[in-house]
Amino acid sequence: MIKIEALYFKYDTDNFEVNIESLHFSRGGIHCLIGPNGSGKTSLLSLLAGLFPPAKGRISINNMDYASNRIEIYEKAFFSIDQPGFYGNMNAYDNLEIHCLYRKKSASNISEILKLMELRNDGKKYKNYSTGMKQKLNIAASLLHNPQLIVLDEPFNALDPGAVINIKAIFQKFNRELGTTFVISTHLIKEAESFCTHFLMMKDGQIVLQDSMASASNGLEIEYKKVFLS
Amino acid sequence: MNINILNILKAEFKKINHWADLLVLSLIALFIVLFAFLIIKSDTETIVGKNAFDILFYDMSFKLYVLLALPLITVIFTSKAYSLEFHNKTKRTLYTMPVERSTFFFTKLSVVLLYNIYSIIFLAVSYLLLRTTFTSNLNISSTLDLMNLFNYTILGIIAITLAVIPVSIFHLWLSSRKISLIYNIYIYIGIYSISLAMYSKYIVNQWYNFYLFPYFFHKQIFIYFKDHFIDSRIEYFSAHNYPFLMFIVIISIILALVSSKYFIDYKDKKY
Repeated sequence: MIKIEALYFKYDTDNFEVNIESLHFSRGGIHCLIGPNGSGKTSLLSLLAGLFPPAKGRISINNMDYASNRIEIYEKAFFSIDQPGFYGNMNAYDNLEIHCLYRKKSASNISEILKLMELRNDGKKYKNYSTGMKQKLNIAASLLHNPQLIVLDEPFNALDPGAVINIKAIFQKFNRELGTTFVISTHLIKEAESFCTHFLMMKDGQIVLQDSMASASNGLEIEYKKVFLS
Repeated sequence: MNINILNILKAEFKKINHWADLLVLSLIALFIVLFAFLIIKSDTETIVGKNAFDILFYDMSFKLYVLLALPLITVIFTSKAYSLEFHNKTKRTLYTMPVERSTFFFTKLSVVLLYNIYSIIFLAVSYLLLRTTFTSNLNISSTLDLMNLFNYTILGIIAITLAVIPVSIFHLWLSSRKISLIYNIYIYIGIYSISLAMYSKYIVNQWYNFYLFPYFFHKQIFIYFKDHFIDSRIEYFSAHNYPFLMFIVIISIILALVSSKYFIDYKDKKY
């Protein structure tokens, strides 16, 4: 699904670098990106989303790259990097309708998705939403058009435990029934452990450990302690 | 036209509170016509003497529109169209949509252009609605010249296009850089200069007549303008209303500064 080869990126404003020799996200997997603050998770996701061009190396999604197939990639993928971006003076329905207009898709399933995410279509403006509700709307936008690839930056932040359980179940359902590939960054090791199929640990802009959950026999928490706290 | 461009245009109108905006634009047009009438009313002798109330009235309305409303509307709504993406942190979301980035620019430009075109058409409508009341108030008879009205409206649309395109390009440039509010004021001064330049005899006689218009329009309309209205009206406007012109300039700069403060928010634009 996603292939990264000899990737190098450096910010103009500071000395932080992302340096990845080789990385592969398999199709149909739920991949969790784990690492402490400032380890380069958001930078890597931004590079995957084509927001920054890498200084060196190549990123390909479905054997396409941003230089020649930008539109085709965005048609089949949803990216949400950093924090949710919606229009404050509009309600949830209208914000999702904007996504439909940009993606040339029907708005017929907006109400269904809002219901699935336990969001009410009551005209409440986005600017009055709690952080958790904003996060839910972002996840709703990601699921709206059944993309092949969903990339989310810390989607469980600010969600209550009940919502986290619900959303994990929804992600697993999409993954199982539609074959959607997820790439998710998170700090919540236990949550990652309970639903990811693959994990990836990052430190100082580099991949320090990448494996499938089935191979991590000790559990993610022990692996995390080994990598970051030893 | 590509259906996706229409979709994006629809999305742009959805994002901005367009009903409130259209109300404001209509009020601006009405205000301009009333303002023009107040100026003309102070010099009724000239009007009656020339028996050209309609020509002078719409000429004045048009000039006030280009001097006062056009720069203000252009800067405010271009700023609004771009700043809402920064303010709501939606630029990243937009850039991961299956749409060419240049399309965002053209649709934002189109929204501002359509707003301005709406306002100049509403200016003509306001004029048509109010002229009867005004002519009966001043007890003068004047013939309505619809061709004149049409020509001015077309000239206004061209002025709008000339004004909106550089402002939009400038905003696009700004959107990729970390800059301060002061640049918005520079844009206003720039666009204001363009508006003023529209009135210079040099522009009217040389540039429009020989370079710009023949490519876009029938030359006869231009010559008609030049011979019948523009030259003489500029002289009239300059001779009689210089202090008033200065007053308009000062008021509109103050309005632009105030509006910039509200509409531009570039603090969190860098990511």
